[in-house]
Amino acid sequence: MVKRTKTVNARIRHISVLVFCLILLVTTPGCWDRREVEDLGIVLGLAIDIDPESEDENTLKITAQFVSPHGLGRSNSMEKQGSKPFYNLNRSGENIIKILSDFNVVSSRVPNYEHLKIIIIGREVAEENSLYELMHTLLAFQEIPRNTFVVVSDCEAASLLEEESELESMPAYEIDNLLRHNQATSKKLYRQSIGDLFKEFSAGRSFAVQRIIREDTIVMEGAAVFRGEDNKMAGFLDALETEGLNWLTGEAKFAAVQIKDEEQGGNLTCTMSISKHQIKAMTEDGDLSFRVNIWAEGLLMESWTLNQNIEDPEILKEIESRISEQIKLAIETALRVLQKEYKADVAGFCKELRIEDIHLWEELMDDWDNTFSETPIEVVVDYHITGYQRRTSR
Amino acid sequence: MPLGRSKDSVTSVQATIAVFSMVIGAGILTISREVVEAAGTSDAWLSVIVGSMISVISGVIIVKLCQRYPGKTVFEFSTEVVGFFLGKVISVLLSIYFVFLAAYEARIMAELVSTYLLQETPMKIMVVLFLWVCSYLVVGGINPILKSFEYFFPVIIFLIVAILGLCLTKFDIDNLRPVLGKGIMPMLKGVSSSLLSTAGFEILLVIIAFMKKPEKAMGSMLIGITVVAVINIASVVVSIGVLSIEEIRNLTWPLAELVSAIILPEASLEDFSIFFVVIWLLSIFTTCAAASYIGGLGISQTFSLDFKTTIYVLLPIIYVLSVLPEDLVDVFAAGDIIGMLWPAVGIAIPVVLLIVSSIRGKRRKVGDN
Repeated sequence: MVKRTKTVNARIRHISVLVFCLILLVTTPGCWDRREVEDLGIVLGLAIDIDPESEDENTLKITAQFVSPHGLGRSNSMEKQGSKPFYNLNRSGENIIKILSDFNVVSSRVPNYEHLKIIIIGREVAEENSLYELMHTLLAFQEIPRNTFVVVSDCEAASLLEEESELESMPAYEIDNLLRHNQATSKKLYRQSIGDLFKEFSAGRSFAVQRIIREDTIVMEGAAVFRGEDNKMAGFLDALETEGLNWLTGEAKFAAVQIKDEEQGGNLTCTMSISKHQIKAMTEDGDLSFRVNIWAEGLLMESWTLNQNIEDPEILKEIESRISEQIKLAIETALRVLQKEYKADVAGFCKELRIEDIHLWEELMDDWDNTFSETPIEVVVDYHITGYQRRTSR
Repeated sequence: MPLGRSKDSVTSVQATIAVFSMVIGAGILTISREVVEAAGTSDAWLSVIVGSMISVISGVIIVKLCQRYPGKTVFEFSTEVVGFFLGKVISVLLSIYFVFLAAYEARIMAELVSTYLLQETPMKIMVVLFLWVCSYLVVGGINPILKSFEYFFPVIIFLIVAILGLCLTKFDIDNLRPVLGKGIMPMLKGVSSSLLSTAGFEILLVIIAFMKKPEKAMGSMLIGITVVAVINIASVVVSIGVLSIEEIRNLTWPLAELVSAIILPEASLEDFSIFFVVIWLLSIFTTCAAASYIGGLGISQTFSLDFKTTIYVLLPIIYVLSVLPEDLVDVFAAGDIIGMLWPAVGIAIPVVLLIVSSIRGKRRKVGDN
């Protein structure tokens, strides 16, 4: 009898546990934030332009690049005839939040920005609007990641998202990958993500953003200079000026420098990379000036100058000093544009002043860009050849 | 007699981990912003060093105080020290502080999760679930709480080290310079906010009573606070180095933003902040559980109530307190109030108790002679 009640009790307990589990199964998976991946329209790129069709100049047009899952899974042979792996939608309006929510009207899937790679800003937009306000409203959408890259285009931004590439499956990836590798050139700017830009915004500094232009393919060279006072674009730097800027900031990883031998009519090319870089603020007797020291080194790559013994230390010294001159010239060109034309300190001179003399910096910080444009800057370059790639002799 | 009381089984390692788990919680998420705002320069990290030193001093006071009354928690010996009425008042004040702290932690958890993880889920549901799990642990008494802290400890340490390590690729030493460029004043201004970064070691007021060897409490306190201080200093240094002081001021959750600034090239993981938030729940959980345990223990010992019943009664009270602030501004305002209470709890009360107790102790000795 005792045994029997025990088994009954055990059975009741079993059943009640089972019922409890079932109740839990029904009640606990209720999830407010469930999102099915099939219902999402994943946006990889955004392009912001002034709407050409609208009469009002403040009307913005945003083009969004969505991933199209149908185009992705195909093999290469099918790809050409099949559908594209992406599709672009655009909406116009006066304000970014409105436009972004308008995408819900045209997209059959809920737009999702969590994988956004790239934001392209058209030239007119950058000139007329504060980049800070644009980015701030974009980031107010919590979904947009801090690591999304920002570039400024010379042409219509939306057209860059149309450009089909041979290697990458979609334009947004093409641009993203172009930004990611910058080992072997100094004509590209160091990449700027939204997070990096916000550091500049909150410090009120001027800054530069990568420029993107369209020739036969997408070309990534040059830079757009933004002024710190209103975060509007002041103008572009071309490829050579950008190279100078990259040398100035010490970001350059690799560059080729060529000099001409006038006497003998040959060319001589050396690689260079920056081994040490220093900007020093000097505040003697209340006069502010900067001194840029750059130590660079590289290989002698090719020399078409005949009858020259490059093993002769005299000649080597001569080559080194001429290349130093060349680098210095490029840096000074970039500096002249930044100081006189755009009046924007994008190379971080203000940081050095803050470190050197914080009291003077706090006096000058409100009108820094104008002060910067009048400040003398001395550039000293020391280039050193570390070896030869190949001896050329005929 | 509260659960876990009969077997005084807290080891010195457990006490160290308890200090760590209690202190590392919601505070570290916002500490760099608060210190930078107060100091105004990049010397904020120096303020944290000074703040930690002050915490060590008050930690020594707490340990000395508790060692005078072996086997008794602050709620039990306070009446012996300053008399029945004042003792009860002090106990009630302490309990209220810990109850508020538990509610605050639960709310910060909900705010964090709703910002980074579950935008649509109602905050109240998250708070309810969190507090349920919390109470389930707390009614078990001190031993299960400390056991679970021991399991969480390596996970939390690993996470912090991993985050700070991964951020170093974007670290710019220039953001930390110049050191003391505007003299020593800005650093001192930051000290009062940085004190809060080690707030929570008051858990020793209770835990020493349960220790197997209370004489080892001093070592536990020192190691615990040192580990916490190193982590705090490292996180402020890395935050300033990666984000710069101007940007930190504008961020609600500097530490979480720091995590989302991490880029691993060629990694399929794009945003680390989600993982960070999920695991950080553990560390907020430990703080919330410890705070509600001490709050509950305090009330039950002060008014001689049953411990379990007290916890169950406290549960809805903590819930109401944590959903009371309407928005994030109110939440941070509530955090400031708790921050203002802390010097009283962590420094003033122990100091007063120790002084009174040592005067009385001497008098008693004189009387004996």
